[in-house]
Amino acid sequence: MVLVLGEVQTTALRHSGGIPQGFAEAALALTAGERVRVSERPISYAVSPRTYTGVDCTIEARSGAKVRGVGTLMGRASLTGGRVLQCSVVARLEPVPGGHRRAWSHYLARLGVVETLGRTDIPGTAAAHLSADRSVSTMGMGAFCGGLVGRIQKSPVLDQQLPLRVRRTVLRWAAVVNEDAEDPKVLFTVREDGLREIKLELAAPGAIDGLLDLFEDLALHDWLLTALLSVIEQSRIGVEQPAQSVVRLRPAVDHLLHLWMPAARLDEFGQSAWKALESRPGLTRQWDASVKRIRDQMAMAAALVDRQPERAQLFR
Amino acid sequence: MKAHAEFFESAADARVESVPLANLSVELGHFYAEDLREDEDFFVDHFRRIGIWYAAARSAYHGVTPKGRPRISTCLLVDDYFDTVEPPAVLVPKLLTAAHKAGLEIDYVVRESGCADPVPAHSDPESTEAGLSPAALVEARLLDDPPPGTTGARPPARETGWLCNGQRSGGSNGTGQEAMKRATAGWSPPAENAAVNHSIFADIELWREGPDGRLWSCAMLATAWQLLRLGVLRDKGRRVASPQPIPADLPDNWRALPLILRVNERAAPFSAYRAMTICSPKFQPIENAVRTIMQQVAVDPAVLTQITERAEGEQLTLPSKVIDRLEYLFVDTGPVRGAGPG
Repeated sequence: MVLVLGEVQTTALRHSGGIPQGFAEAALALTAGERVRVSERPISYAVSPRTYTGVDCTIEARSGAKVRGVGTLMGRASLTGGRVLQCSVVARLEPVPGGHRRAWSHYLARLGVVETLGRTDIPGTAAAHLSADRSVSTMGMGAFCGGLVGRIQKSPVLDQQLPLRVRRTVLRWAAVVNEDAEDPKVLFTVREDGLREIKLELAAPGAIDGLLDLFEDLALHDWLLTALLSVIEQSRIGVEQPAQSVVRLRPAVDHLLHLWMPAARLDEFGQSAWKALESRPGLTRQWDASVKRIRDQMAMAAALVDRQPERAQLFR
Repeated sequence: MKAHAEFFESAADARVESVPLANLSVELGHFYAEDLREDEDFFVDHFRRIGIWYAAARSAYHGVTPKGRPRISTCLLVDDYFDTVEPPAVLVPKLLTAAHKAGLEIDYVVRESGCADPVPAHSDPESTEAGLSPAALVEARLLDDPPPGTTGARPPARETGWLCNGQRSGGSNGTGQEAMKRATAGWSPPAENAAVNHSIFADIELWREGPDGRLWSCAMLATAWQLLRLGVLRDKGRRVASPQPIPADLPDNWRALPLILRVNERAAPFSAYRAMTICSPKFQPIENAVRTIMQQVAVDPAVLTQITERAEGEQLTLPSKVIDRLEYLFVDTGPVRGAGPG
């Protein structure tokens, strides 16, 4: 069994509008001499080169059993629609027999892999990773990820204006590769403290990029939905006058509505995982309902504007 | 029937350019700047001594190359960075003639300053877009060897311009309260991360800021040199500094020359699957420093995969660790710095 652990943090870029491609490339240039990859179809997207950090630390399973892990965490950052910033960290855990750490060059020949030196409780390690508090994480993955977010948000090309107030979301994921597994199983949970966790069980590991793309795409849409709901809540529909609500709904129209494009850049495996998730939590169903609600409010406000009595009331 | 439509945009493509590769690159000795001022006889003696071992290396590779004759190229690095040396118009012919008299052929001459100078980003020499220097490319890919207890939340402590292979001794570095605390707690020994029983701790100076900007250390430039020889450096996916033919008129200034000068037009490629250095044992500390740095260079995995696949295509086995592709022969090459044999 192989275990792949990760975390994705999603937030609004500290910039008042969507940033142009050249700025996106400057903000995401985490490693000198490496390319930022950009694409415009089907949605504007830029991804940083990969960045790594070395670890040599204790990894704890839920039972409390400990094992030493040595290797590298891989991180990357991406920007969707010039507006939504995501930082991701991932490590593939591979148990190796024998308790000795090897020369560092050994670990650099397999970047993104952490070797565990000795017996490793894989399901228990996955469980510990997913159930940990928001403030702690396996191998400090969360801190590494948060550090990337901070580094990019401080980029001098950004004007430091937040386009909308939405909390940063944290999605932790664990993919257990188990040859005996049948169909891929995916479990998505939103915890009380706001942390999202996804457990995925699959038979073949596939490319790590495919997994990263999948979890970043899920985190992106979960964040978009969270942001949209938060804007709707702040607009006080039914409490305020429709025109007031519409003004408060405006950030959603300016910054969010056009970004919803589930599984747009995913491979076949990613698309099937999305489909499985859509049938139960139904992210798209909730998104569509929320968008409809916003449009209804706008239509109503527009209709009222044309009627003299209401108009007088609205603009008095 | 299900239609398959996929978007491909070239800028979204992560591919890296490939470089021509020989089986083996052999470096025919090291010279300090003062040795480069010696006369032709000095070099004939040097190359005769090296030639014995070069022949051995060649025959060793004839034995292990499965398909036909191995492609072997030879090279020399000229130290024009730390000291003034004779102009190319004098030094290059002197080296080539001496090697020829000793029965050796030099294929490539490389100027050390080139490892510190920005290389045009495109292989096109007329391009004005400046890339990074090979040394800066190496620095960008350094990934520190983590001491036990390192997590993503507690990255390894860095001393600006230095790189070590473990934990520095307590009480001897740092500033402020932390250093005070350590000083009163007494000395604690340094520790090598990958120690086998006892530590062999190395702390390598990478660069220092001088009046004329950054001065790279010899070890750092030599690391860039070895990685160029192994064909693993890329700048934004593009190859760095392809060899250029020797101009008909050699300039008086080394910096007017390209980084890699091809002096033998029939030469096998400059970069190679493996690289061997034949030099005096006096250079062993430098090479140890190079290896300490190289142990911590995270070469682009896409480049590693590309080279591994090409080696497999030629039925060659290649060590997965880049550092294991370097070999050395530390032998008596005659006087070094006028101070007798190594």
